[in-house]
Amino acid sequence: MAKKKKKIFLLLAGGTCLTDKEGRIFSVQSAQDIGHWLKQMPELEILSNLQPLFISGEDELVTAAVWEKMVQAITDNFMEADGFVIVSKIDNLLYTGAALSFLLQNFQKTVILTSSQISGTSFVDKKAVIEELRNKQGGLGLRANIINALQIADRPLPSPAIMFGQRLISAIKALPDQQNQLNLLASADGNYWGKVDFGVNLKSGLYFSPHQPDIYKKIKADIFILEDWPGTPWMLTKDNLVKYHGLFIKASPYQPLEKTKQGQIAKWKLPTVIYNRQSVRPIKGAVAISGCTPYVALTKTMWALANAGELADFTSIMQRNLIGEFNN
Amino acid sequence: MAIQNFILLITGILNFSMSVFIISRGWKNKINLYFSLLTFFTFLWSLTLFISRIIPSDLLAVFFYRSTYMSAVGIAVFLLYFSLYFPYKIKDVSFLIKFSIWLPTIIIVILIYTQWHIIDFNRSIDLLEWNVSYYVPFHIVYGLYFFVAVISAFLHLVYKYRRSENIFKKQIKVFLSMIAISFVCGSYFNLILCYFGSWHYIWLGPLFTLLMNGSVFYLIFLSKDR
Repeated sequence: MAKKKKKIFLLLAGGTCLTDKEGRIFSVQSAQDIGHWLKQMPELEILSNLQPLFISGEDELVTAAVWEKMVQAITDNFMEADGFVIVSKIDNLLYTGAALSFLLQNFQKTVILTSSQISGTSFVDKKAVIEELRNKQGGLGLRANIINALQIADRPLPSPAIMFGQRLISAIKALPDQQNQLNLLASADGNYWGKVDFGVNLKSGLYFSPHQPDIYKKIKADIFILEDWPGTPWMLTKDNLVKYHGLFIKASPYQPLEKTKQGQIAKWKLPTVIYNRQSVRPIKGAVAISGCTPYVALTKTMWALANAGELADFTSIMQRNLIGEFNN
Repeated sequence: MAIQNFILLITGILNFSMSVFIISRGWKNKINLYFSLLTFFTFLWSLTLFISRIIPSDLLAVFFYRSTYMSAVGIAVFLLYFSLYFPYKIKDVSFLIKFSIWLPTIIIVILIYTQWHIIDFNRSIDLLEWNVSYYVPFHIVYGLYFFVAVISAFLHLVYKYRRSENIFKKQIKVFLSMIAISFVCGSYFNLILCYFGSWHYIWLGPLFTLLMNGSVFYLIFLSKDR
């Protein structure tokens, strides 16, 4: 009797651009495009029993609502699935991966994110890049990325991961790699869960978390993001922030915020996170965090604010190393 | 020990080391499993050829020499399997496919150890000059079987190369080019020349399998991402 194929759910939310031999570009704009798009990659059906699910189109923005939709689709199909592969836009794949890591804590099925090297169907401005990728790499990378993701989608991974080029990276550790044309992402701590060298080679000792799964279905997008430049005043009043539930400040390292800015934060009385990857000086009325990627810091804030009712107090949640997001 | 035999021994040791190393990366991964089996049979090929060249007894020597042909069958079969899975699977290996691979394999392996294969086997006193009489029809069938298996494997890899992009394209290119050299040289020195009565260079064939191992070593340790 033939061995039963693993059932993998393929969630499509942008990042679906691929080219055929003639250079035609295919992407998924709506659920109707999926069949034709999948026909360009017949090998996917051989690798698994693939169940495609449409989440959002190639030209749609990947927002917090899309992340919530992904979590809903994943939890709805949890029992049936052997694993999940999410194709989403490269420009915010790092945010998507980090957000899903907080929404699907201790999840007992593997979730792998991947993407094409090109997002969006406004190809005119990307013509040169597409040509270069086709000439140098034979395509936009999506076919190889999905194949690699599918090959390990039923293997246990502790939390959502990103498969891109030759690297499998924990989604909470992923950062852009500007030096590499093939591997556009790198791990913040240099630790990779897998490498594509001679097949996909997974690191040993990767298991599902032994803790009970914590699934959250809400994440808040209404957070005001402010990049602070020392010496430049914030021309904001409380009225400007009335629609926001939180404030996320990207601060410069080592230098504390000016007194006037500290006073503004105290006056606004919004849950506030002050972040710098290297180091940040704590101030009264704000949670200071460092030692994690900016994508993790922001999405953790969004998640913590959305689920405030279920969680302990905001400050302690933000500072606690919940899923290994902080580098030791 | 003659330099040729020493080279065979070293080749065997390197092939065996590669086989153990690859399987230690995880036997559940079909790429590792089939490449490890492939290199195990290249090791057996070198070893049996080495023994047949040094052992004084003609009776044992002919047994080990026959075993080199059995090893080559193993190489062809596992290269075929490997080509289906590297760098990703392109075909479901059905019962019918397995049957059509393994039935002729078993028959050929059995016949290798009979008079249908080698009719007569003689060596000079210094063991360097060989004279082997083959049963020609079987030798042709064996050659056809071997080349069909190897060419099928090549066609699988070429098909994947044409469809692949970025990392896969590079991997297949490196592997395919090295394995092509290995098989052309291996078949020439150890199958075609032997068919025409020349055994002077049979020690050379296994040496070329190191190119195949070298390509995998390169992919694992020296490819760009490292």
